[in-house]
Amino acid sequence: MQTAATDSPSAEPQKGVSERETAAALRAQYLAAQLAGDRRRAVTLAVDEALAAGLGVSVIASEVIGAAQREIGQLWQEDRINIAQEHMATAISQLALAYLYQKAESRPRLGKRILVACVEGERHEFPARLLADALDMAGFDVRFLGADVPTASLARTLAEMPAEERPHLVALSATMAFHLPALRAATSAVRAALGPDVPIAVGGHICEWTRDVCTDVGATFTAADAADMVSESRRRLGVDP
Amino acid sequence: MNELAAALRAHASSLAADCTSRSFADPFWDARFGPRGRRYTEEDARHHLDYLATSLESADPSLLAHYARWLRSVLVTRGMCSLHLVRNLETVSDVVTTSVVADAATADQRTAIREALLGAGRALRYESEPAASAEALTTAVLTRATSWTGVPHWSAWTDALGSSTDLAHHWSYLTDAIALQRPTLYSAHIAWLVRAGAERGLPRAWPDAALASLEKLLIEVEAPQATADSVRAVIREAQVRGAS
Repeated sequence: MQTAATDSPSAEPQKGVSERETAAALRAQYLAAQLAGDRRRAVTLAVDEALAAGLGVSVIASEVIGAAQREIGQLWQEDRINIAQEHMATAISQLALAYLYQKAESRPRLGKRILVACVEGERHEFPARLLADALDMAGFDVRFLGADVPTASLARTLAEMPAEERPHLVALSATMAFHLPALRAATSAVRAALGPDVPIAVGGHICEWTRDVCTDVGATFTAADAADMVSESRRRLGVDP
Repeated sequence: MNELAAALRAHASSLAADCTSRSFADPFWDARFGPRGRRYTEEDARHHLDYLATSLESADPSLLAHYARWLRSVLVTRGMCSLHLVRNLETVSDVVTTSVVADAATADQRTAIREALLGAGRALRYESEPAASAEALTTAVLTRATSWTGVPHWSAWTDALGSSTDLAHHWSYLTDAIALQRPTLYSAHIAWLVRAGAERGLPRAWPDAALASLEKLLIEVEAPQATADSVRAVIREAQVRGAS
């Protein structure tokens, strides 16, 4: 019977090869399979072979699948692949993340709810998806709303939630910097619905281009990546590591 | 500034259309990119305006600079050069500061608009070598432009293909190819020029002589050895691949 994957390696990485080297090697093979459009090979590499090599679930998500997606973005930027190829590769990564999620061990629930959403107009949902999965695997109860969530719909969803379902923390994602107004609006809507004490996190590429985004939009904190978001969420929600 | 940003967004369609019309007055754009290029140019103009509005709202001109650098990396791998984007941002500045949006703005706000857009253009200057040194030679090279424009048939080419034939843009294509370590970016531009010229029955002599004149220019401006070597490597690639 196959055991569920965890962040603790179930087998030792290949002797003499670091975790980083193992992840890098698998990422290169995964990227090649993505660009070849070989869905099965890509998913097998990124999940089955990565787990067998001793990589943990969070490392696979960030250093194999997530890192390959960043390379895909760079290849499109440099016109080395076209937009159809970029979409194909992203669809494969969505599949790989779903398979990884299925393989991941269900951690004890922490009793804390987090809502994750991309702001209105933001269609780049992959970073938010990585975040939602990481939080879920860490034991949070995650409600992931996906891409391009209209602000009015976000507000209504939160307002209509029974108190026992309301999130303890909200994470808003934006990639394109011209979504700053949408991010401000979404933050205001969350504050209006949930009050001043619920932490609001902002993540995504927008944070790299925007000076002091938290102050600008009225959010509570930003996180550099999914791992950072998990640890910061634990700290702010008072959950023991 | 929030009212100004709202006005920019409200008038984005007409402003973007105006920017596109002005850009396409240069025959290069239609020749190189055609109707599809016109649609993308208008789409890009809308993004420029959106980023301008966001930048003004946040009082953060660095936002436009980040955008310009990122956009440059996309455009120069698709047949344009950095100077095209600089000129593009200047066009947006001209259009906006003479539009109904500017009519309702204060003098300080109009200055902020110009500074944000022209500052984004300045942010495109290369800082790493050898591209920075190559780019630094631009002024010296342009003072010797007669060795370029004096090449036979230059005026016939420039009438047909616009800015793609002028020395400033060529130097920008060269610098981009050096900066990205992709000589094929320049040779692809030359190859397109040769094809476009042939389709229009233009005398082939010009692009060949133009590439040769670049070599002379390097000597005339006393380019540092490393810079000259970088430029020559890109020219050689074009002579082998693009001009044959």
